[in-house]
Amino acid sequence: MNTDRITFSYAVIYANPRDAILLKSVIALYNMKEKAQWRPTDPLTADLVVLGDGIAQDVAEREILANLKPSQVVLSLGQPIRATSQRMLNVDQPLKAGDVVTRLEQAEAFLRRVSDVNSNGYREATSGETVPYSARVRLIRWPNAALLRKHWDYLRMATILVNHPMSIPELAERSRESEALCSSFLTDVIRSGHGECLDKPEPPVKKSVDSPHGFKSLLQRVRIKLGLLGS
Amino acid sequence: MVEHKIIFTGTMSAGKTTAIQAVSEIPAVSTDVTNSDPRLGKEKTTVALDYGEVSLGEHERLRLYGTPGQERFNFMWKILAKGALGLIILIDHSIEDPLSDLQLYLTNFSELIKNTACVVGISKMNESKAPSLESYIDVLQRNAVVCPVIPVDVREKQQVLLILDLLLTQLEGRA
Repeated sequence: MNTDRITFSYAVIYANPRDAILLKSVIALYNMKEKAQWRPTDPLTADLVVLGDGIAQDVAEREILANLKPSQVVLSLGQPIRATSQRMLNVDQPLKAGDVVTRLEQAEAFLRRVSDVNSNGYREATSGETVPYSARVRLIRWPNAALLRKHWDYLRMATILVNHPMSIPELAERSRESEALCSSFLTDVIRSGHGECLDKPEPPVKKSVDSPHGFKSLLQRVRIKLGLLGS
Repeated sequence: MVEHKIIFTGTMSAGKTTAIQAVSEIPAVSTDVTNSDPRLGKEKTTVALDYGEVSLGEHERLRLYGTPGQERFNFMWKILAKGALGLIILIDHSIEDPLSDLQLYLTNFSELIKNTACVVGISKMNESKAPSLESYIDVLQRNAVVCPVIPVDVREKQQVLLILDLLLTQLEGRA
């Protein structure tokens, strides 16, 4: 992995004075670490656009987000804004330094992948693109409530994906859901930054043959006893 | 007799005892004493452990262990964790610093989480707004843990069963 320090740019718009000062301080401290450097610039060209709470959601979506590039990351302070073409992060208010640092790290990780600085072979699905059929998706962060609410079965699919990168057909077989739904879920996971596509092929998952005393059978007996069948 | 176990750990007053009682086939054994800590707001607290059972057959059973929440009993956590199928962490959202508590359990049960499965249930989320669910997920991410994090009311049996369902779903991926 490329460990040279890379510079990304950011812009803060419509933030209240307290948030603006805190952001500036946190970014200054962040720049002292062995990570990316963040430099201020204008919103139209910034890698990371920080959108404060000084603008109404619908106006932000119409006037601001519509004019940003697909490769730009947006960090919304407070209320999440629905975005369709950019990488969207949000952080709760009142802002806490730790939360802001975590978002900067996430933004940095996304931007490194987009710019191919990370040489580990990961790529993200860009705007309008769905996850390739045979590509495996790994969950890198538990999905937030907004994503899980999109479909009642997303919770179960996310749980299946924990620790087990899967492709669309693999997830469909395991979850017993349609490939269309699995495709939507995996694409949502990628676009929201909760997962990453694995370009490098992994060995196929071996299907174990279970005996009556095996682990799978045990779990089935637990399910039957607790009345948790159908999962 | 073949025996398996699932561990419930987490903050005092998060609902470990209640959760075990919700699914246990026997009256859950609870080693409670009168609470001497006025900050807790409860009359009794667990000082050793909770125990419940689910029989899986004539010669097989699933033991449900609730660890004592106080850190001074952490020597018991490792003992109980040995050989467990999985871990359920319950955090009381209404205490002063729930995120630090979550960190405590993630640290002390890191091996079990790495080798099996874990679900984090946040109780009493309706009692206060901060921290957000995202903050709990942030803590997990800092510990390189990806597992379900959900608000839960352990007084509702269906919600306790949901937690167990999510645990079993993860374990099935390891089978």
